[in-house]
Amino acid sequence: MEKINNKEAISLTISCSLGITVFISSQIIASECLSSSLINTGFISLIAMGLTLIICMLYKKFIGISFLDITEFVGGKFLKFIVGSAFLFYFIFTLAIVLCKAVNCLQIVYYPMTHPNYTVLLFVITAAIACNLKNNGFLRATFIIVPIVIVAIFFIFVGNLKNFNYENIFPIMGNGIRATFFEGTTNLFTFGGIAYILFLPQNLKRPDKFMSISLISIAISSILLTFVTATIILMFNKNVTSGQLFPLYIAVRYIEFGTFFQRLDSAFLLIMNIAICSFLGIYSNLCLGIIKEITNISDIKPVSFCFALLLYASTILIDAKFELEFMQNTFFKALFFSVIALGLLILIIANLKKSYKKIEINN
Amino acid sequence: MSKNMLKFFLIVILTLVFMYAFSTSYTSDSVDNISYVIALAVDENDGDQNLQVTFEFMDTSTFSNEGSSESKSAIIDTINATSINSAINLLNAYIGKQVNLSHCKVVVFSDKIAQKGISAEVSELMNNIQVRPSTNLIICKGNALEYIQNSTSQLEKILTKYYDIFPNSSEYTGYTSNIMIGEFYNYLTTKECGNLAILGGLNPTISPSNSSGNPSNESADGSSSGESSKGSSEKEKPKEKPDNCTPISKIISGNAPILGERGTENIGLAVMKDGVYLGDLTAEETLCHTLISGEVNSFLLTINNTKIFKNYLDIELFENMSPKISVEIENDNPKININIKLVGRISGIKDGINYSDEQSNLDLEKISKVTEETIEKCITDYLNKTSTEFKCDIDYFYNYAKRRFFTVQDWKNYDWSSKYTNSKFNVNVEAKVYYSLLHSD
Repeated sequence: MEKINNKEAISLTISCSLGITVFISSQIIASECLSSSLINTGFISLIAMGLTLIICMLYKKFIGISFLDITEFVGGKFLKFIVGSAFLFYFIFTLAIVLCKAVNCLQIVYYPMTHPNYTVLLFVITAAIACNLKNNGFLRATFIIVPIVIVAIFFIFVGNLKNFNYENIFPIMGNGIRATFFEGTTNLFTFGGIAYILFLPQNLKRPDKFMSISLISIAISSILLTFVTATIILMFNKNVTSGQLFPLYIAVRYIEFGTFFQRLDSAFLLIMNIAICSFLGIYSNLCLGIIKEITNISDIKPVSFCFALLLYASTILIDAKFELEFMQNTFFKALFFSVIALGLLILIIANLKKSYKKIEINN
Repeated sequence: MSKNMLKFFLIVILTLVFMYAFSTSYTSDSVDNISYVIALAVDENDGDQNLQVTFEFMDTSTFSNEGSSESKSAIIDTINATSINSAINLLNAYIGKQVNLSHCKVVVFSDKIAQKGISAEVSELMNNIQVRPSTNLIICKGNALEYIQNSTSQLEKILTKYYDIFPNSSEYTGYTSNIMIGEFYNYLTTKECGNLAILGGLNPTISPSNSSGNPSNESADGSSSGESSKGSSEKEKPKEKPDNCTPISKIISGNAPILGERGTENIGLAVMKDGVYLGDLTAEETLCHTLISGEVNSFLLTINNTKIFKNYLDIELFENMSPKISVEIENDNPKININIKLVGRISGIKDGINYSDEQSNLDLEKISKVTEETIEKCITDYLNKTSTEFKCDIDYFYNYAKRRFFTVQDWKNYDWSSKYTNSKFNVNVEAKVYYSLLHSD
């Protein structure tokens, strides 16, 4: 991957969280925390900022060095392979589950007669093409798409202001302090961008700006999460938080500006389709980068089609064999926390090892 | 084989695969294969097929490019089935085109079926991706089929446009409310409150025999079809005038003192709890509800108080600011405080009066006071009716009561539905009335 500038890096990191927020996590937050969803959102946003800050601090001694190289420094090539594979599994799972949700939604709304496997194939081919674009074309596309999605989310919020019931934020503690703050911490998985941040430094044109890029990205992701959750919580009771469609799409269906502007849901779905393509492109590129690093393949491009097949198989497997709700609510969260814990552990050990070596050299 | 050839074949194969895969969805959703329903009516039916579902379609072939102002005819089909979905299924087979509800403007339920409960039907509709949440929901006094057969306005020739605009009068009369199925469903799934739907009815001056799509016309397979012209040409003139002037406190759809060619009325609201129809709100009670909810922007109040004026006074009132509502818990029972601020202008004084002379005699403070007292009494009576007669919160005060609780469990334990019946209401109306006739003698 070519080196990316600060703005591109911010849009990439936001896009990584955005797909999860819109399609999966906002619905889970609303159903688990009920009226305290906004408090939970604020709480997990603070934790996400804290985590990002810790990662950036731990990276200070390894400016511009790849996370997998740091892993190799800690435990050799074997650990690099294990950690790389773990992250690869997490990213593929993220892609598959978001794709699954998006395709199911598309099938209900637009393609009732088409088997979802064909729609998945369409998206997977897009991802493969995105990986093969010259000059990081998908990066530039993401840089354009992310602001459009942000505007769309803000527009949905403003367009629904008249439909909001502001009393829906009461009782203030929703399902209780435990559900909001302790069990609610698991909703941190919405910040998929944190995992992406671990792999960002080596791709930056200016690695010294890593901290500001990361913090800005997570802050913007937090604001977007707040807008999405607020739209859902202020509009609906619990009845939409367990449906097959993602609640933001249902919220768009309520937007009407008189009889002139109606039925904006189609436009929103179009924007979200493009956003998914960008989301797939980013994660696929990242996965290919990891595969390249752990296997030492010199030309990764031909592998992109094999990766696309792997992604296709994963998505249709999740769709056909597993209960999507369980995969979203339990497995996805557990996987996120495992990889983040693994990443932090490696960075901490690497820092300790580097400090110890420095002391040894000084002595 | 060269690399480029391989690429070419791959692209061709993929294109063919996608053409095959998506063409079925495209064909089924093609405009040529779809017939758009503009109104849906659900009646009770005796026998195994317990629903009589009526679909109203617009005959699009009568539209001209120039936007002709001629009255468009509607096509009405009725199906007997066990559910709305099975009725749609049967109709798909009958008409040879796929029925699509994405342009359905109103859903009408007859009062008979609403008394048994419409939760299942509303859930069924809300789970249909084609049904828009902005579709209006009407409970009709009488037959729902007859209601849609007679739903038309001489002032709006295009039926879909008429369905779009008919609830707008709620903003300047307060005698109805723009209730949509999305909002209805939202409250239907909330245990703490009741539901409201638009109350519809047939104008008593239109005899049922005028309806062309009478259920008796049904064919043996349970379906009937026929064109129901909504123009005035096929409709008989109203036969008799309403008996006398019904007071506003008693007006509901079906008994309004209106003489006209429009066959239906939408005045008042239907009160429901858990999807079951409990009773009606009159025009005056509906005005109280829309005042509390802040839906009405302006309304007309007629004051007949001989202490301040020897004849009728018409006052046009405007909402000065959104109503302020708070709920306190006193001795474990709710105390609901409502503050409404209005400004008004005298828009009419009964004839036979020298306006300029009378102006000097009008005590605006007294009129304001009487206006406030009249509205306060009216709202208090209405709220007492909701708590004692309907025994459900149809003004959604529970939203404000939730503030008093820390967690959802605390709120559930309080059991608002049963406590609401012991509620005390503290209504405070501030009205400033100005004399503002445009012309005076």
